[in-house]
Amino acid sequence: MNNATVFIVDDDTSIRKSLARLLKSAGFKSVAFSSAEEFLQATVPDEPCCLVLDVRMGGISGLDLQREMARLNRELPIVFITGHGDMRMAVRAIRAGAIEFLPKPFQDKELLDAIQKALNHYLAVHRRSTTIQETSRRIALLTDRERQVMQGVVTGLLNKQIGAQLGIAEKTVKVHRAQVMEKMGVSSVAELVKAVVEFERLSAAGRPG
Amino acid sequence: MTDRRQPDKEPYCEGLENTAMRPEVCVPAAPGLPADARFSDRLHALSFVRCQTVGATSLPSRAQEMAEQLRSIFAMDACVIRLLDGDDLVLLACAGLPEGSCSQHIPVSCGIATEILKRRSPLFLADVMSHPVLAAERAGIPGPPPFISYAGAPMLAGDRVIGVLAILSRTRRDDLTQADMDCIQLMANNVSVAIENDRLYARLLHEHKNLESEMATRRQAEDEVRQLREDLAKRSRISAMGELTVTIAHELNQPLGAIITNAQACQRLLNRTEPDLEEVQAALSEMIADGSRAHEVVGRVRRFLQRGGPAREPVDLNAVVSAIVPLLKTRLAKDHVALSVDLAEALPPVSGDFAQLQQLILNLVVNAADAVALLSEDSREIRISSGLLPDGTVSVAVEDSGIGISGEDMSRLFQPFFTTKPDGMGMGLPICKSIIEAHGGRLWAESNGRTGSVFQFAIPAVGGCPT
Repeated sequence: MNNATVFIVDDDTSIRKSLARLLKSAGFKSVAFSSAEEFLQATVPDEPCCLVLDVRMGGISGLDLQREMARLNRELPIVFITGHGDMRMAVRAIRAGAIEFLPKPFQDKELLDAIQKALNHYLAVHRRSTTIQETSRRIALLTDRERQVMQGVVTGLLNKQIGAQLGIAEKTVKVHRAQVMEKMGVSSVAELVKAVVEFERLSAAGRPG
Repeated sequence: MTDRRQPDKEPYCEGLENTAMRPEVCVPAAPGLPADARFSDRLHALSFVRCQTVGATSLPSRAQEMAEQLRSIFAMDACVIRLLDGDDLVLLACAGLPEGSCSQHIPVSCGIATEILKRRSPLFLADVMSHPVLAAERAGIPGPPPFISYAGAPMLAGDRVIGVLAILSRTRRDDLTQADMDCIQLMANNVSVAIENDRLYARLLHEHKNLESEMATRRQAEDEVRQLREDLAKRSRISAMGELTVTIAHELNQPLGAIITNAQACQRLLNRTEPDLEEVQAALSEMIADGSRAHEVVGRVRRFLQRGGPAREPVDLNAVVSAIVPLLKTRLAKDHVALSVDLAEALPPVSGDFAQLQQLILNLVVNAADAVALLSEDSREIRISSGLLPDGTVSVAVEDSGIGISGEDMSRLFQPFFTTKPDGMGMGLPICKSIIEAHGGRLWAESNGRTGSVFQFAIPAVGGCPT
């Protein structure tokens, strides 16, 4: 994960500097900000990244920044660090999707593990959205008839059955089917089924609520 | 001395137009009573009545005794005292008549009493029937009147008539002299003094009770206000301490957290196959800076607690103790704690801050009060003493009759946030210690040799010891 970036937002210079040094010593690239406002103005690269965020800061607090990022649809996995966190704050942060809530002082391993967990989370989310995007792009290439044929194939119908269902010749079904396989970029029925099922699963999982 | 007065002196029925109504001048003394004895009896009666003007017993019972006395001194059959109350004459006392035979209320408009109220002077009738008004009143009533002779006087209080006093005889009496009538008037006046005294006393008592209840209410309100104020002060002290603690914790956690993180980074940097010594150097510099920052925070807290350090002026520790003893007594009395103070004479002054030292002693006494709070009320004792120690320091000791301190607690006594009290903050003794250290003195605790403990501090006397 050489291209991963860890963002640090903490209003205490000593903490920022020491965190950056620790991350560097562990092989992470980091960018530090002294306030939430400053971070919100930065451009987040399209590569694995996460945020190490102090809860108590002058100006926008860590918890407020978390909410603001969700509102702006710029969500990143967040590891909270706090000097005097109480249970309520931690529960609130985790509920809002935070990866970890670490009270200071913490062991370096705790922080690094949390960062790793956050980056993994980023990748999983990223992978999911990439897959969804790719599959939906391919599905968009299909004609209505091809989509109907694909539906039949995926549900396990024979060509003859699909033809009867759609009122077309079995031969025509075969032609459509070949088109579906090509456009969806798969070489077997098994692959096609897998791609469609995965797409449906991820889309469902990605839907809010 | 004789009571045989000359008849030409003053008629006792003055004002009666009909001279025939005048009683006959009574020259002879009462049968069997020598003149001297009568005089002395009258004096005695007068003095008795006078004594009755104030007394512990109720007015009716005193009036009753006065009536008995008058009746017997004049050897009459009855004595009646009535008080004017609106249009009625109300019976106050009645001697010589069976209970219930004397009506409680009679209208002022009838009977001999009316005459006396009109006259505002004494009246003697050797024969009541000789008075035309009374004769008229009795006309048509069969049988002889119950009393033949009558001597009465208005009861005067200042220029007001408040009642009528009368002595009556069933048989005709001619022996009452002007002196007797004067005496009766005097006694009537004395009775009215007694009544007025009683009324005054009742009013005073009533007002006093009002005042007392007002004062009690006020005291209670003041107590409540004081309690509220103390609670508020305590609460704000706790909340201030709470905020202070959070701030201190945050201020200390930041540099400490940075130091730990930097140290951990150093470990990683040094564990590499090619240690990044330059980065380690940078980390160490920052760790030193953060260490100093933490140190500075601690210093700030200390200065804050000492409010910029104590003033330095000669202070008499006895005066410090004496100045807060009244305050302490009030506070301790509330908790039924007995406070004794034993100050050594001619102590040399110490150099310090009067207010801080006062705060220090106050804290120690409050601690002691908490220590004895669980004891029964009669064994709660605190003793404050002062003295000059052999090493030239002046000391003040606060001793309590409490349950003492366990050896384990003793060692942690002055640590911040250590407390054995359910609602304690554990800051009292550390603050005391920081005050005493700022004075170049020392503070320690020990057992008092019995159950309780002694908290004692000692400060070098001015010029006596190194500062």
